[in-house]
Amino acid sequence: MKDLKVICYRYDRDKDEKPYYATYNVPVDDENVSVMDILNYIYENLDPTISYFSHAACKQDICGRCTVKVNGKSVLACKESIIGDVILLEPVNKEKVIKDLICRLD
Amino acid sequence: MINNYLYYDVIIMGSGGAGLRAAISSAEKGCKTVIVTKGKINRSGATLLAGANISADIACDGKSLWEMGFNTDKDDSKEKWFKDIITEGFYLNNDELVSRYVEDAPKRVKELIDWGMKVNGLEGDRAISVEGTEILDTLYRNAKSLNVGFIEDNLVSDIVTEGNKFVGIISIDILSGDISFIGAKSLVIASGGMHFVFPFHSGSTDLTGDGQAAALRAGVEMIDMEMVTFCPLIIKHPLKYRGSILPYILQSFGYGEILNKYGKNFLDDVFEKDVLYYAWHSEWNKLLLSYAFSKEILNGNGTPDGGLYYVMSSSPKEIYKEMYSNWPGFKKGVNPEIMSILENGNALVIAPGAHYFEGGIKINDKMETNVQGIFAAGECTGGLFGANRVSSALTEMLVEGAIAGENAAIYAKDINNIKPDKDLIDKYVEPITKPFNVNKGTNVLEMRKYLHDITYANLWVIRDGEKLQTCLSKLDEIKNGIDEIYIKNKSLKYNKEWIEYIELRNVYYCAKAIAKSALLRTESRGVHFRSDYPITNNEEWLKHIIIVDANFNYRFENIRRGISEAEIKKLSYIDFIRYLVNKLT
Repeated sequence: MKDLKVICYRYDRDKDEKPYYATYNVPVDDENVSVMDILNYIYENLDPTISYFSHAACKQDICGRCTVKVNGKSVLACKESIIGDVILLEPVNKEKVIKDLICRLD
Repeated sequence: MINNYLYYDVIIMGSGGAGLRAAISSAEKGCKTVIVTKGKINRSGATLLAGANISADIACDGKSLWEMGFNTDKDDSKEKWFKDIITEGFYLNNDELVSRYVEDAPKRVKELIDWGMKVNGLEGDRAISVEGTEILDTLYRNAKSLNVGFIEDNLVSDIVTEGNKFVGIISIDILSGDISFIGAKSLVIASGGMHFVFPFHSGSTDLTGDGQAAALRAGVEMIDMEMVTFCPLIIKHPLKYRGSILPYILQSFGYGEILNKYGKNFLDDVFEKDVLYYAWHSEWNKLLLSYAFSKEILNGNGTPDGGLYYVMSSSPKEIYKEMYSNWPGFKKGVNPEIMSILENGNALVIAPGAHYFEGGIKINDKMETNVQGIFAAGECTGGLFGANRVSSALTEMLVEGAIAGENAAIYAKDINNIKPDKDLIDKYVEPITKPFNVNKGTNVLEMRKYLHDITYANLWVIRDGEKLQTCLSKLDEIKNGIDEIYIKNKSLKYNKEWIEYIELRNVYYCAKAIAKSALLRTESRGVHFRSDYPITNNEEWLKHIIIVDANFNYRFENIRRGISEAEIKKLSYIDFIRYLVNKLT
């Protein structure tokens, strides 16, 4: 069991003057945990206002829709395993953010 | 409250294989057609994950496949296949739907091949093996070339009707929170399964029974809702791979073994030798293994998280090498990570999980429902496979999709769009936006967890009257809770709590229809097993249970074909399976 520190980009254009970063501590007790699992944990246990792609997700690296930036690199949240004690989560394109980690990509 | 009003001839709800195939038929008839889908057009729904995207089977009779150049049995026939599907369905099938299925299957297979779909080979004697994404991409190319409109990332909350006639849909753009009224002359519901009724399943996250629930609220009848197929080997742990059916695919190819918490193989104690053979080597493995595994877990012999171990520990490297060369899909996506767990001699924790829904929207052989202008196709429909699906759900979606799209287009030709008045629309919008005005109550996440605890405990593989009664009364509590739900997040943009509220409302209707039908059916048949009625009773139960409205009133409908087929009146559950397997051609 370790405590993972998650630093996450947050922005709601309707409410926030500018984007900010929120920090969450997530207990991790398994080596096979994905970024998607971590986001689900935050949503279910720490902050239900967080937005990340999850409404039509295959969770098996097939649909390719849950892209986020982890430590600056674009990856699929369902495929990316957690390495280290701190991760930085950001949207793939800050110009096109709808809310938090959600972008409208064409 | 409505941000947009849009009008089309035909709306297709859902963009898996059934929806895409329906859109093609409708557009070919010259109708202005739009697909409204919750995810991305060719990358969402259940088709995407068919056969773990390794080997999905599109079924067709052996003779027709032989005529297309495949090395199958040319002495097979549509008649033999028809008979087998009815036997596999424990006689509960709607024979008119089975007729269309076997009749149209070759046309649907052939057109996909002509349109350039890549075929990996054969799967058994009556199916070709493909990847789910291949089917979707092939259909998508065609739909696009026919100028079908696409509205993505939209959750259809309701179907609007006036009298007994379809008017349009209410749709929420998940990203922006905008609510649209989309009017049309006809609708094809192709929304897939109701996986989210259960906490543990093999579906993608969009399969929340939106079509079935909205249809039921619009007065559309549901059939055979108690029939839910559980896939016996779905990964439960590690969490990252939860929901994958990869171990099921491995097992059905013949690899690996299943152990209880003591590391023991227990299947020999559950089944006699001949039945054990069917459990391992026949297409009936889903129901037999789900029954056996659930029993073992309920007996306290499961892992701490309620599963069993799947291992390939005695397999030498050569076996993996050959497997990867035969099935390249094992090297794609997250599959190599899962395989490395097994290759390293470790176990996956697996358990039976909800996989396919035999029951659903009641249709006739034109894919019409009882509400004018509403058609349905694919997994969201019921009746074709009766009490147990052995044949292919992909063939179902293709055959039914093509018919539904065509008939929805023919229906649309003769009528005009109805422009509903504001009061009617407000009636639908009020409940979906209500949580924005509620400042205290039960949180949507707690409610979801509560609902899942109830369905897991009471509506799982092994059922009984007491559990089902409990399930129904607790679902009523949930209904009250949903009506007063609290969401913390009041933003309209990608609001997960709000989306979950709307999905949970749909899940409630589906769960209640399943539980109610399961309680009514006081026998065991196919995938529906009742420990208090462990007998298949052809004398009393060769009939469909039909849920007729959103108050869950019901009626029965006799099965013509089944009654003439059934030679045996009553038999214990396993003995009847034994009897049926021996009747296959």
